Amino acid sequence: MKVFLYALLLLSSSLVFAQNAEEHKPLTASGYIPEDIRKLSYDKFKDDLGNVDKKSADRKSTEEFLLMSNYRVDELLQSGKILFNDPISEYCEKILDEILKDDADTRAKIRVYTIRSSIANAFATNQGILFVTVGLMAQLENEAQLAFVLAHEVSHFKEKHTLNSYLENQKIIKGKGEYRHYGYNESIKLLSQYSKDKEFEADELGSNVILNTDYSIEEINYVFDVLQYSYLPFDEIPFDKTFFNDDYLKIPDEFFLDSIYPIVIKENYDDSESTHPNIVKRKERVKNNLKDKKGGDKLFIVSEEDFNNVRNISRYELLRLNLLDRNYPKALYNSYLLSLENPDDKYIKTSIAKALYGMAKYKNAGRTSEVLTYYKKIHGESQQVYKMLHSMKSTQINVIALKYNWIMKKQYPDEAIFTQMCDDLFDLLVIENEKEKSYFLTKKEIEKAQNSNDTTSIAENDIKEEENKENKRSKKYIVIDERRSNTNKESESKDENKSSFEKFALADLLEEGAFENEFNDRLEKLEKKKKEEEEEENMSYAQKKSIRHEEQKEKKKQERKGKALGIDKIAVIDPMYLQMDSRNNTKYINSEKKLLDFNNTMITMASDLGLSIELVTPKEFTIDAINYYNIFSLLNDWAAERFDHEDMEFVQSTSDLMEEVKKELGTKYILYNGVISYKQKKSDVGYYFCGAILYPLILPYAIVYALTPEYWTYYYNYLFDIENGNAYIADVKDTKQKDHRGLVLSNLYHTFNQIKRNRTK
Amino acid sequence: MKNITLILFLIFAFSLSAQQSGYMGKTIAIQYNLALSPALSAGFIGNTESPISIKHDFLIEKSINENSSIGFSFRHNDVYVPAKTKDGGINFEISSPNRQYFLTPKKDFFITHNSFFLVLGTYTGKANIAPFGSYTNVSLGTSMYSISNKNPEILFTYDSTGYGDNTDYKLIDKNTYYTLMISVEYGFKRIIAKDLYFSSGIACNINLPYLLPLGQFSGDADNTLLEQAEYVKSTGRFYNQLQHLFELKLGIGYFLF
Repeated sequence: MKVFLYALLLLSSSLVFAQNAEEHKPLTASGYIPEDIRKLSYDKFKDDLGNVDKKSADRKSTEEFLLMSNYRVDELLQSGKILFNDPISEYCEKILDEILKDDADTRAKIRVYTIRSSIANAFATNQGILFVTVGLMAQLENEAQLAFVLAHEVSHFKEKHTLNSYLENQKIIKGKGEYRHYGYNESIKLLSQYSKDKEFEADELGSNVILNTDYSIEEINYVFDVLQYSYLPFDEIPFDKTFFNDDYLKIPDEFFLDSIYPIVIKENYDDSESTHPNIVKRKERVKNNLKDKKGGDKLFIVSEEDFNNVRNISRYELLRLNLLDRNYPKALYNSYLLSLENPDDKYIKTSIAKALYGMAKYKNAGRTSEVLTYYKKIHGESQQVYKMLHSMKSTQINVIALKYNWIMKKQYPDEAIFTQMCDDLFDLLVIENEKEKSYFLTKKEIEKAQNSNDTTSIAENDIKEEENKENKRSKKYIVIDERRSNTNKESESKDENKSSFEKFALADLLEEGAFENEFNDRLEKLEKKKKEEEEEENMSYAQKKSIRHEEQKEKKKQERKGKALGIDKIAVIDPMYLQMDSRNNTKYINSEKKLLDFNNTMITMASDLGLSIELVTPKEFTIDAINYYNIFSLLNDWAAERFDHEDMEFVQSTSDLMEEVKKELGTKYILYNGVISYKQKKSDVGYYFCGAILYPLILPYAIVYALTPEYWTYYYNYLFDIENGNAYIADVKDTKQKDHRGLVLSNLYHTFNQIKRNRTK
Repeated sequence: MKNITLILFLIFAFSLSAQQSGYMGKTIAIQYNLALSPALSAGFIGNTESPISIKHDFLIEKSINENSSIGFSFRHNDVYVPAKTKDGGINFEISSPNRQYFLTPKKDFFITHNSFFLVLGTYTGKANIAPFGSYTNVSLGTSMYSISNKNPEILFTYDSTGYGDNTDYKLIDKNTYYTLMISVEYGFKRIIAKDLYFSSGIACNINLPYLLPLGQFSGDADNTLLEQAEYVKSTGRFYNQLQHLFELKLGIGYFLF
């Protein structure tokens, strides 16, 4: 029976690893929530204090470090970015078993978690936690490389590098002991040198660990290359310029570079002020350490299949992370790379649809620079994607995004996100950019032109026809139009972009009834919009002023009255309570205590008001609340993206996951709120004493004023609808006083009251 | 009384539209303030009971929206006027283009002030929700002062001839006078227990007749007792102003409902 159970366990475990990339779902944590995430930071700190040598000269600094490191590591652990019991973490654990098979004590102290980040990185904490990122996993070439990365981080932990670095840094910064005669610049160099020494030490110890295994030691050299060039995509394959093309959509060659900028090799750079040594030095040191030593030659020990699976999962997950980072060009290039093997993969195609949509929205909003790095700063094959997106006008990317999403909508009619993106892109194209049907060429027109073998002339004739219509105007405006036209042409030629390929792109879709209906629907709205604008133009100044006045009056009235949303249930996600001082030092212990009190107060207050709340915060998670953990994680991604888009109406990349979240929480309304209290010295004490000289009665007041620091308290609350991203409440309130309980209660009550109350009552 | 009833009615009428958050749902607060101000009138009267003048102030306040409130306050204080001043001088000075008269009290007495204010409060700082937090109050009201409330038989003497022939003078007109006052107060309220709060602030009060040409005597002081009574009235107003010019207010309040 036992054998049968074991076999079943093995089977289920292999099923987890055999996750088919074609069915990729966002990576989530699973199983029980580890104590590292659930345990209060203060309790961890108290436990660590028990291990501090009370007689040590560094006792105070050690305690400072333990306080800071526990709270900072917990900030990461409780950020929702951490995965546990997931394929990546579990695979790393297996490799740790292998490389530490002769060091059971160390192995027992170490656990690995994955960070959902596109940056390639790994690091260890003083508590024995090893973090590896999805970005790193997507870049590695084999298991031996990962084994060295883990061995390097284990060495940092074993040698207590984080603690020792902190203690040494404190001595350098404070100029204690041997450092007391050093100036600022010398101190900076000392700090970086100390850090570099620890890196060399970890490389050496890590390579020694690998020497004791069968892993190939040659891979250690290569892993430095992986880390050095991790800013590049995970592969370098020329981008197919016809990737988006079909019978009617043809992106011309002029949108691409003739040749890309080659990857820049800068390996032996000046690292004197860097915390990490440069790659050449690291390679040399490791080479010297391994000189005349014979190591293993295996690239894989645990499992090559597992490695490939985990790396594939990471690469798929990278697309999601790129979209969350609003790195749409990278999402497109990475999607292209993955599509070479799986051209019909739904997940990849969905990522492309989302990236195109995002790019179209930002281009049209005039916020391109936020999401698109200038292509001349990019090296390697992905530069073509940056160049293409850079060269396209907002209408062009709008058309490509609309076409791609429309095809996806037809292929996956049950996926609401494609309908939402199509709706938005239609609005953008027809209502905002005022592109009517006549702007686009139909199949017949193109066929006619093809027969005469001159498609471009059709577009030109089309423009000429429009110009002729305009030439019915008076001469004055004809001259102005000519001048305007010349100016536009000049600016277009500067953009190196004369093509109007987008006019042809929708020819096939325009013959589809559903597409045409959507188009007509927008045209009606456009007509209505124009009519309203015309009416507004015809209004007298007094009428316009009166309307504006009424609008402002109503707005002020609403502001004074506050909201009355009549909502019965909300989910409160990850509330925050932070107490800081002017040196940006966080009062960790107080902040955590206040947060727990804040959470409890919310529950009680909501109950008193008859408002049902779901509190989703790591501080309150029970060991088996894995569903809530994953919801928390998804919502944090959603909110981060929502805040990045600011006031732009946007179908977020995670919005297709929100239906499940809504079902689980029982509400579509989520609240982010918190308190930040900031303490600083007063700068206007002198005025009060001058006042006291003139009017002595206020002297006691002036003394009290002078002796007490200045406080600022910020209370923020954002209530979102996760269905459409609307913010019903978006307030950051400040006041020049301490975060008294009364103040916090008052604001919290006001938030809940606005949510719960109903104006019609 | 009718006016007070009307104001109270208005305050409670606002509470009928109660959807305001107030402080934890409570939008009406009552408050007692101890208002301390330097007895500036000492310089004129010569002697007072204390260098600090103490006033008692009661306030009822209702939040009308997120950052405003309306309220009604009543204030009471007495100014002690001794019959014999430290320099033997004369307390109430009456001047005219030709002559000066001095009304000298024959007995110690008090000037009693009772003031009623309509208070409009603004709660500054976005996180302050009325009626709680940092506030700026602007109040408009009337101050009644009466000279003989405690001793209706008070007599003054005055030198009617200018040669030391003192004549007794009894206030024959009504001895309660009114003046309009405007007040600005800045302070903050802090919760000290459930629904109980401590309030502190500083205030400045101005008698409107000092800003506006209301009730200032402009006639000849020689003639009638009535005119002399006007002098008393304006001098009383002056003392009233001195008593209210600057105040440090310490109060305790309770959120009713």
